[in-house]
Amino acid sequence: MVASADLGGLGAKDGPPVTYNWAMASLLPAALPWLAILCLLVFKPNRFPRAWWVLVPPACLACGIGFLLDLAPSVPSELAEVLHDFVGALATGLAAVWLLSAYLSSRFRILNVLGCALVLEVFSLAVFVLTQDYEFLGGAAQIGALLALSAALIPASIGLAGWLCRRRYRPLALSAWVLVMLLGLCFLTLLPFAILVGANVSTIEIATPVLFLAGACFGVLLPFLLLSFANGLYRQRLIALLRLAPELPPVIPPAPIGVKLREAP
Amino acid sequence: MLVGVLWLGGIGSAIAAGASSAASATSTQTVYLEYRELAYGVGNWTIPITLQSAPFKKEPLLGQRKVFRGTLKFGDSTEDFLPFIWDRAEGKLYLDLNRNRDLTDDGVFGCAGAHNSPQSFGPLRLPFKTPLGTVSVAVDLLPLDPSLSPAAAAVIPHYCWEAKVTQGGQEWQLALVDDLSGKLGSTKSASLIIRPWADRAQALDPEYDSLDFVPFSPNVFFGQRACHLDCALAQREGGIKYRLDLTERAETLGELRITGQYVHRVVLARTGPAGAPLGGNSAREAAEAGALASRYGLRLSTPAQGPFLAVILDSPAPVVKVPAGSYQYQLSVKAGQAEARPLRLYGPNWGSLIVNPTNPATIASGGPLTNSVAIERHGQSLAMNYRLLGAQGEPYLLQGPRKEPQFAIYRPGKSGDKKLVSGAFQFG
Repeated sequence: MVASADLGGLGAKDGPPVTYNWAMASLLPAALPWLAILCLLVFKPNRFPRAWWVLVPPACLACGIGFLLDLAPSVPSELAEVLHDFVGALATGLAAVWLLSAYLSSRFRILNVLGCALVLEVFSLAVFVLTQDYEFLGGAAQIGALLALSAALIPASIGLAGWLCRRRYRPLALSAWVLVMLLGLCFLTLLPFAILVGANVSTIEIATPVLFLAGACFGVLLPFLLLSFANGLYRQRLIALLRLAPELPPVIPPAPIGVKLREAP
Repeated sequence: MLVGVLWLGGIGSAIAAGASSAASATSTQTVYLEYRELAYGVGNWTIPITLQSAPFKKEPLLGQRKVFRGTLKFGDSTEDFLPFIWDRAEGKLYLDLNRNRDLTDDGVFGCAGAHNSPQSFGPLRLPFKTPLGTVSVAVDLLPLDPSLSPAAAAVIPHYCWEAKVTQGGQEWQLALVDDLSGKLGSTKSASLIIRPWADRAQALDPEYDSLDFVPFSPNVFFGQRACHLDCALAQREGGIKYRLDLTERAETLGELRITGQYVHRVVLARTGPAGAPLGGNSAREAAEAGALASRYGLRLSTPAQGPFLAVILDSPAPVVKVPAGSYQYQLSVKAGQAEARPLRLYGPNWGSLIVNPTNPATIASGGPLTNSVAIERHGQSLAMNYRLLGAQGEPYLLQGPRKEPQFAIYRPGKSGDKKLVSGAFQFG
């Protein structure tokens, strides 16, 4: 590798080459989230081709975060790595929730939410912990704490949104309520910290982390919600999990006069 | 016979000492440092503020706007404390320059943009009382966000006190920058500027770690001579100036070789034993030397021995004479308009050396500088950090506007190196 800069007479423009012997790193940390999802796809309720669509949201998020970071080259590489790890771990956790939701549905909404939270916490944190570089931890502990918080806030927001939409399955309203609940819960969670820091904290100083955290959670959750809205298998699981009223059967128009309905044998 | 040998030995020692010493006859040169305003800031002081909600005795019409009232606590004397009202919404600063707590009979100052953060007011001329009368000095005043604790304002002086001094056959600018957080007129925490008089028109670098300034030291060596500085305010020609007495002092000198190229300025701080007695080594002197060393950003592992001495070498020759002692040093390099100074990574970046009268000491740091890259593996990624290194591998920072350094990665192959990727390092 050669570094070069114009030193204006203080030295040569090109520095001497610096040699680094690169040994291929283990692919396991990068493959781990995908292996976890593939393992869950083996479970009996997931043995349908439609279940494999669950790989699409994590793939979209991985591409999306890479694209966003390319758009903002000024973001320091350490921060970019942390954001990438955060999104990857949360996406894996949500994929696990979507794949295990057949086991998590019960008659009690609160139990469903707690089950989702447990699965999301376990998978997200496990993936995050196992993919960290322990030679360069940096702010991993803080990001881990933020991840644990997000993994608690997302099921709570979905549960509350489901309760508010319990009379009917309405995808748009459900998504909107999830966002509102995320904003509200993030605000309530971060408010005590703001109060502890000082009474003179300005509105923008509170609003910025709330918007950032809620936006990040919703950004990761949205592709999974879209998957459920578009895919019948996951739609039924979401409806069962949130105990929403089932979709209304299609309205059969009355038969025209003079047409005799054939009786069932 | 024995007496004769001792007598001859004594003469020999005296001759040797005379050969390696600066002027043995001490002389005093007195100059008066005159106040001079500068177009740029020199230094940056943080002045604590005491905020208050109670209104002052008389206030301008402020309407229902939220304003910040308080006192700027210059120095440790309430005489210098300065009451103020900061109308942040309007970008106005009311100062009680005559300290009568009536804020309607003084100046009101506006900032360039009311919505700038922080708002900058100035240059303002702030009056301070001294035993000889009132001195007004030009400063920029930037009240910091009042929600920060403790409340404070940044004060940037736009002036210095300067005189022309002839030393070692060369004319020098010798200037003083007051410590506005202390007592005006005291040199205890002031900064000293010593550079060739010909460079006087060039802007000084106000950065904290710039070698253009050194913390005021009563003992300095420049222009090939050591001298003691006595500095105090004095009345002169109807005004207040600093009177500066430069008393030459004898020092045993040793040879210093500078092998690095493009060395522009070397600042050496003597903190260790000198080659000759320096007139006592009392606890007070050691404490003063320790305090001065800490102002230079030096951490001494043992108590300072002898008085602190700052040695300033401007565009030094490859071989120079400096007072004997153990030193820590920093240097900057310059070629044409390009200048680089030591990079502070985790505090000041000092080198060490010992100068003694018999063996020459060497500073090998300096140019030519080399573009380099430090590579560290972080799991599956490589962290590549740009480094600008000196002749001894010491890090530097290029000054002035500059482009991001570039990098290129090659993979060696049988038919030559293949360029894999290239790009620019990010600042920060």
